[in-house]
Amino acid sequence: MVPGGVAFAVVWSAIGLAVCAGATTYGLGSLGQPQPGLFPFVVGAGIVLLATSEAIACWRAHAPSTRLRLGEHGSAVIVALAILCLYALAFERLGFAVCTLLLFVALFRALAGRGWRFSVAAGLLATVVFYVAFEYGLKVNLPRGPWGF
Amino acid sequence: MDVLPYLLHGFEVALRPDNLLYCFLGVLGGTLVGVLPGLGPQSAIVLLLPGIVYLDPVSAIIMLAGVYYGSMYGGSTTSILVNIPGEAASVVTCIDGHQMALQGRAGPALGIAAFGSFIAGTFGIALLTVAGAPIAEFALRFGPPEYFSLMCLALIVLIHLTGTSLRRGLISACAGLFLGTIGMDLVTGQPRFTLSFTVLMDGVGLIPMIMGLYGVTEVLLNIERGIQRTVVQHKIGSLLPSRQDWRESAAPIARGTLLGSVLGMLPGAGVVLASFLSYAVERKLSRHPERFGKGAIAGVAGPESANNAAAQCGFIPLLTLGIPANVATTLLLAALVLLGIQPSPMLVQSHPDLFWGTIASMYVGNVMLLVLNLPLIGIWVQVLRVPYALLFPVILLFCMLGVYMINRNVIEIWIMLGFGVIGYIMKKTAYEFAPLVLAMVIAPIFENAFRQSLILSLGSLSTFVTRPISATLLACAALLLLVPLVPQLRTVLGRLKE
Repeated sequence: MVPGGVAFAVVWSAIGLAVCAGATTYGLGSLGQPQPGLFPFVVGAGIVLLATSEAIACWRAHAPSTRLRLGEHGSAVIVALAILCLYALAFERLGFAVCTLLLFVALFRALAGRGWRFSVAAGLLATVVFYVAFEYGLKVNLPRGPWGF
Repeated sequence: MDVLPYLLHGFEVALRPDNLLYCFLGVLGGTLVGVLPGLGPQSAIVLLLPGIVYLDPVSAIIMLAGVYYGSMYGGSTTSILVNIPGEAASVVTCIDGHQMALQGRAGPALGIAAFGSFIAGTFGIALLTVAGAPIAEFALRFGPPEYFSLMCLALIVLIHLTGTSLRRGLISACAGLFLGTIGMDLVTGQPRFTLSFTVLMDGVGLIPMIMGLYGVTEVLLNIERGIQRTVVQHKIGSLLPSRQDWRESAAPIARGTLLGSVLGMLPGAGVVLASFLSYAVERKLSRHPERFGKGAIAGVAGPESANNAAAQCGFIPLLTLGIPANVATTLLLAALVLLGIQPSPMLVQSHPDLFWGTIASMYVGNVMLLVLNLPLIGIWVQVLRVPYALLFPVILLFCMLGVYMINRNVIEIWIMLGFGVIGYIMKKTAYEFAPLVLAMVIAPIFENAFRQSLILSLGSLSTFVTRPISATLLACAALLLLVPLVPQLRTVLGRLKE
């Protein structure tokens, strides 16, 4: 089994190679007359070298501690991320108020283990507080949904 | 340099009603986040970053500095009452502080932590007052090669402090340097690595990146761990330590203050090391080392003094050289950049209000903290009862609205979430992201110094090692790089001998 440490180091190497390739397109120039690509090229080369040596070291050690594993409540992390992505997707379409209420209800219900009544009440309260603070306090134009709020 | 007139000017700035208010809000907010486990000074500074761009730079830095050193005070409360460190520097306070609380002596433990913190913090600021300007004056001799070498050193010491592996820390730093090159080239104006996204023309946003790495990642990690905590049920009692407590704590406070001041000034040594070392020193010097771990007041007084002195002295390299001493001061550096201030030795001359105003505000803030902490202990105990399950949705919403406020563009939220996931994966695979953040913040200056050095020396890399200051800085960096290799070298040499 390939340890996560190796896989991640390989990803870093690939990123480093991509940086080097991209840097050459901006021109490297010479040491006396460096062009915009020189510094990123050096940095990319550094990533490749370091990541390759890291991959070799992890491969030799089989680095069990670096395997990418979710912890005891790992599924909660995925749920949280899914909720946050949905919030970002809907934020400008449904507007701040509706999205934020749904966000709080979802987080309280799915991750904090609270009941519907608490989740909706706390969500409503938090939405109103944030709406007033940002819209009127900080004068931020929050996105409005089809219902005008 | 006679510092008194400058310091008096600093007090004029710090005692302005608006700055007094921001200082108060900073230390109060800092204490609050220090008290709450799962929220540290980093998270608090990150949450405030989007808002500070609307403030006067002096007020903003006074407030953020207050959050930082305020959290050092607050961290001890959680360690003593709940046995969970409010922030990393208070880890050792748990050992004897919580034992004291279990024995019904939470009051003296909290009291000595507050008094020790006040004494050490004030000493640290005095040192900053005296040493700050001369160090900056000396650093004015720096040219591009010296800057380049100084930043190399800053990155390597930070990697040493935070990273479990030097190699991973270096990868993280290189990634940060790459991220810092995204956007328009400062010299030619050529767009680099923007992938034709207009939003990337000005580079990767510092706020979405920092909020993703420190805000979202921390919340995800805390959700994964599932924080459980119970507040000590014993009565807290009188907060004033007895005469015997003072006798046992005076020397540890003095030693912790000195130790913390020295370590705090060294970029990278930081507050955590100071508190751990102080605990080790006190245990070693104690006539009753067997009491340590069972409620010795010296085990609270020493480390708490050390971490506060180190926190204050951490401002010396930040304000005089523009290099951070730890992760929290890295974020303060980022805040300065966001406010349009380039941290450098020129800061003392170009922004005297900010330099001396911040220093003076720390004296004021320390007094505020002492006055605040003792009477508010009861409230902090109540705050500790707020479950994290109720806090994290608020933190997440703050992060999302904070980044949305910058350009009113939902792409910033996506960038933040992207960095949240990257940070989570980095933490899970034992890569530290503090070097990444520092590298990204200093990348433009770093690249500029690199290019200017090469142009001035007509392409000769020897310019970095032939100039005495630059060579010394690089030698220090090289030494730090070689230190972790010593055990491996010994093993190899041992095998060769066999």
